[in-house]
Amino acid sequence: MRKLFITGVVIVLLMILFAVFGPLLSPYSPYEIHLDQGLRGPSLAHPMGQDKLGRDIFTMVAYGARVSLTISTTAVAISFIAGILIGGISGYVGGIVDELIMRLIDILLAFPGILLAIALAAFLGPGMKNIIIALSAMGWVGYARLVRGQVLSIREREFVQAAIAEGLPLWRILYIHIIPETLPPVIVQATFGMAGTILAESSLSFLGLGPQDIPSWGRILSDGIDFLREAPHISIFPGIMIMLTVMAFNFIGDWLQEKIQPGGGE
Amino acid sequence: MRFLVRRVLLLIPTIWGVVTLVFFLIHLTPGDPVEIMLGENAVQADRVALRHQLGLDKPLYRQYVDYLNRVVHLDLGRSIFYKEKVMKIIEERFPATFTLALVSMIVAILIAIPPGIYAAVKQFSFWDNLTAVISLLGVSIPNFFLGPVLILFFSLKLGWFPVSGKSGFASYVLPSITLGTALAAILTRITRSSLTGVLKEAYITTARAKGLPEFRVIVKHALRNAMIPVVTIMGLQFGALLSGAIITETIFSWPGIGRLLIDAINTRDYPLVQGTVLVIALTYVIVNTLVDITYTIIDPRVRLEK
Repeated sequence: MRKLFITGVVIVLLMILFAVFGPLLSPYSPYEIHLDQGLRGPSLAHPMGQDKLGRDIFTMVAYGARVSLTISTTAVAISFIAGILIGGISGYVGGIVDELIMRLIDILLAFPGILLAIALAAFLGPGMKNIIIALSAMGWVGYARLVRGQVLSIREREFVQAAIAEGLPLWRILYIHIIPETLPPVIVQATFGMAGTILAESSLSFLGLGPQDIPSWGRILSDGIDFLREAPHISIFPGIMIMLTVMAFNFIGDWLQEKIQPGGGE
Repeated sequence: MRFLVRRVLLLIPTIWGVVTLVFFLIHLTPGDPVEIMLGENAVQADRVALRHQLGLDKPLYRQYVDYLNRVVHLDLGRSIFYKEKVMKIIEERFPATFTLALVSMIVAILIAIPPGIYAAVKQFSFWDNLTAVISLLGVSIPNFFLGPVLILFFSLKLGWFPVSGKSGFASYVLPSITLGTALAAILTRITRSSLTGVLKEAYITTARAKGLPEFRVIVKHALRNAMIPVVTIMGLQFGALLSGAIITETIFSWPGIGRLLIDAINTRDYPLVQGTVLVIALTYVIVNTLVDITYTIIDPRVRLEK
């Protein structure tokens, strides 16, 4: 498992480097059209081949890495912070506040998988900002539930009771005593969350609900579907990138989970 | 019995919340939804007519009350594109999605359970590790990548299965593998972890001490208990298959509600989008509740704990 973890970390680092430097390394622009070279397979000049319009797939995939990683990281960060805050308050304050938040969570969990994100993206319209909103609206729930459960048990522990008895303000108790204790499982969840969010982001882009003016992995892949027979490389390269990145985060998450919760699993 | 009543009553606020959220979706559009649906060149009279048909000319609270009232009477409005009742279109498309999800579930079970059992029995062996890696790959491969790859090899290159559409048994093979793979990966992992736990129990040691053959110990004694969490996850994941079907159906042009949803989004047929989203979510909620109830009936320990 440790080997898989290291593999995961290396892949993630390489993807980040690719997203940062890939577009700079490429001599082409992702919008550069060469109609006479449409659908050409991989060559030295174009290591991942060209699409219908003769655009360089490598360059598009490199820009796509930026787009996918930026959207996913932002959405996971928003979900993470919102989830900790809402879950923390829900678990700590309890009572009617807790009840209301839990009912809201139940309602959002009634939308399986990426249905909520699809629905939101469909009405908000495509675009980077809206995708981030849609993914975060779906994402925070998992963290909130986890943190709430943790807080409920940590609240009863002696050091927290002592802090309450001393009359420390609520935000201080949450910030200094409770939230740090809840972090390890939440960080594990965020690692799996990165995997899930990259999948969700590329699914939305695949369905045409992603950013329209810049290449994203999901969209390059979906554009290639019409040419599977004559130019499978168009779909295969972005597909491999998505799969590698998602797999890398799953490898990391699996190992971390084993570390904080030995023997525990699913 | 009290548990049953409580569980069903708990459904009401959730369903109400889902309906409310779906109602407000149309108010999230940037700008006027009627304008977006009809386009800029629409005639003023058409706009007024559509606005009236959707009730958007009424105050918000009135629209909301009317919407709740219609949903209670299973009226989800009329599709703008198909010019038919949304409920009728969904009724026509739903069976295709349901059968695809069911077949995918069976495919997932067939792929998942045997390696899961083997990995648990041979814990920490080469095969156990291999199964772990393959199942991580299984949850990592996006279905919109797996689907096209399967089409490329098995339809375009080998010509074994149709590229798209729903026509007989062969047409189910690729879509159900595409949809079932991620679930299979999850089921393998759960089978393994659950069975590993059960195999450590005292009654297994007893069974072995009695001199029972290992096969009998595993199949007759261990598997029965180990399957409880697996069956629960299977039930809970059935709803997830419904959402996975959205992408799978789009790839394979499968005539179900997943593809209907995406077509409706692309034609900006908002009443149809709302209706489809609502039906998928409610199906999911109801299936989950049924699973929960069944689980309690099968395993009395759960009831005692509550």
